Amino acid sequence: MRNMLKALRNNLLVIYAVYIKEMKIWLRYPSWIFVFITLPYTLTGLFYGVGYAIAGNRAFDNFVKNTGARNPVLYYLLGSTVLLLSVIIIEDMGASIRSEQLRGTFELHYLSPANKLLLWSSYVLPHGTVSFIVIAATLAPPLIWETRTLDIVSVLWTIVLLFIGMLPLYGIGLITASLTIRFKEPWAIINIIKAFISVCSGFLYPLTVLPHWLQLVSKTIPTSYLAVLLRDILIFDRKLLLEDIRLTALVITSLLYLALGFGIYLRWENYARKTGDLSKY
Amino acid sequence: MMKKTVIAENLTKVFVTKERKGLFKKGLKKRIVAVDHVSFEVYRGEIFGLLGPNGAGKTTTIKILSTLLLPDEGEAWVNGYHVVKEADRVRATIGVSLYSDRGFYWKLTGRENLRYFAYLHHISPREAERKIEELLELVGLKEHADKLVEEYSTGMKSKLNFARALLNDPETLFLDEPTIGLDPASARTIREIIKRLSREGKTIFLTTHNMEEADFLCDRIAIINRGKIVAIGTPRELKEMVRDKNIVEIEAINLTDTVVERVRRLGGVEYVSVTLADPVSFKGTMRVTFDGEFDECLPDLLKVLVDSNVRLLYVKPSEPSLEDMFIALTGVSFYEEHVKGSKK
Repeated sequence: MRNMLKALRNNLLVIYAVYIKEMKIWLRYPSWIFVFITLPYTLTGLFYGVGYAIAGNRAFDNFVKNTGARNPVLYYLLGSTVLLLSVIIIEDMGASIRSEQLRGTFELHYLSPANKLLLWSSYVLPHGTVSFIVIAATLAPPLIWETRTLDIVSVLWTIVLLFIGMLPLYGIGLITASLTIRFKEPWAIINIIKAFISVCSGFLYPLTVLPHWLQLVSKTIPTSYLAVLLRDILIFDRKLLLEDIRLTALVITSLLYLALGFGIYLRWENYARKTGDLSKY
Repeated sequence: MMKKTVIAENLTKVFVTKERKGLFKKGLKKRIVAVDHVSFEVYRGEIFGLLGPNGAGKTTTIKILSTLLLPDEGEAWVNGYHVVKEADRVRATIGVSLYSDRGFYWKLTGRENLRYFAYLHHISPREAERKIEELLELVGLKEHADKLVEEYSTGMKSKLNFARALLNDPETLFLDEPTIGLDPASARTIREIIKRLSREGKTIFLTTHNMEEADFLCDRIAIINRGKIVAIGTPRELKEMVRDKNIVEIEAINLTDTVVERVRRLGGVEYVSVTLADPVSFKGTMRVTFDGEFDECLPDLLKVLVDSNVRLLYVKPSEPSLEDMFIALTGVSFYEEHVKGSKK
């Protein structure tokens, strides 16, 4: 019992260390706040313009017919914010391990007795916090404009969904990290994965607009469930139920992706300890 | 009997590197034996130095012992734990300093960096604060502890790196080139701390390519060259290996390659090494090892130097140094970048 408590305390300390370190570094590079909050608005304006250019005055009717939503600004703001956060997490996980390697801090983590799986997955907490802050800051103006208030249950569900939705992104991030450390060049792999996730998650459109085969592919991607569930809560004002099959699908696929990411990462770690790749840069 | 804290048995590590040849040609794969059946033992409280030139296998050895690299052959134990099978236990009982000025989060302060790594070592916040304060005092960084690391000088980063290695109060400390790139004052501080830690009972395993540093610091030294240990002993024992040789040290101007070659051809001369202080005037120090008596060899040596227009600044008999021993054992000079050494 005492050993278990000690292990729990040690693991909490590692999570706390990562959280504080990441938050301090994020807050000391404050320019990201401006980018995170303005970019969804820019993208929303872009989509709005493209829609109007294609469909003219019928654009709004088409939008309502295809999405069921009546506020395109809110719809695209939510979609582009979640899209942005998703690609940033994938990019960050792949590139940050690489930059830790270049900085010389990566190998040092392996000199500590901290559990490495716990250590790398702890990054979900600071990133989740930042994501929630960004979503809250981005969506607040249109929600206030609509004079809508979210009840506490909806806010809590949003937070829970964001944290669950981060897990598969971390799994994918760990896969890209393993591949980039192996091949030293992160951007080709990261960009292909980012494009795939962006198309198949339906952040900016309902998945029904995709060809049937692509809809089937998107069902294997957890972020597709995340996008639908967040829209239900924040745009359609629906109550999320625990028995919702989409929630179960999100949890299962998220855990599968995370497990796959860790599996590949552990294989790479063993390989790197044989070849000396932990410290190569 | 003294307790062994580090045991290496036949450690071997081979790296495969690929040569690049142009845009489309496939490069050849090359096998590099970085560590070749290396065995040694280090005792508790000892300062043990692994001395060798660049690329000799020092860092690879330290990385195997600190669990960062898996050996291809052989076994090793640190503080009683197997470095492969009990890696986490080894990590919990060692401190490692690998880079003198890398390995920090530049947007965190020195104190915050130490705090982060302390928590990764499962040190409680209260204990971490106490330890960090103590270590900052030890390495003389207390005044700069709350500055961002990006504002630190190389020397300050080295000291912080050293402090980080001591966070978990390790039984054994691995230091890879602990004073490289440091100014003399900072290097002296680090050396004094190493001595003090050894007196407190910690085992220090350090690598260096600085002969004087090894001589000053280490209780025992293992000489490593091309991945192989060529000698182990106390500095005195190692120097004793060349005790029967007569060595003369000459400081002079115009110590060119031609002059070195002429000296090397002289009868009775075993080894010649030159350390150039000024590559323009060829001012430097030449050490000549004779296998004969001074009386027989010195006049010929001086004649060759004078005939070659070498301007002598001083000539004196010298005690054998670790470098003389290294040349005697390996046939090559130690500081390959700075010295033209030769074996007759």
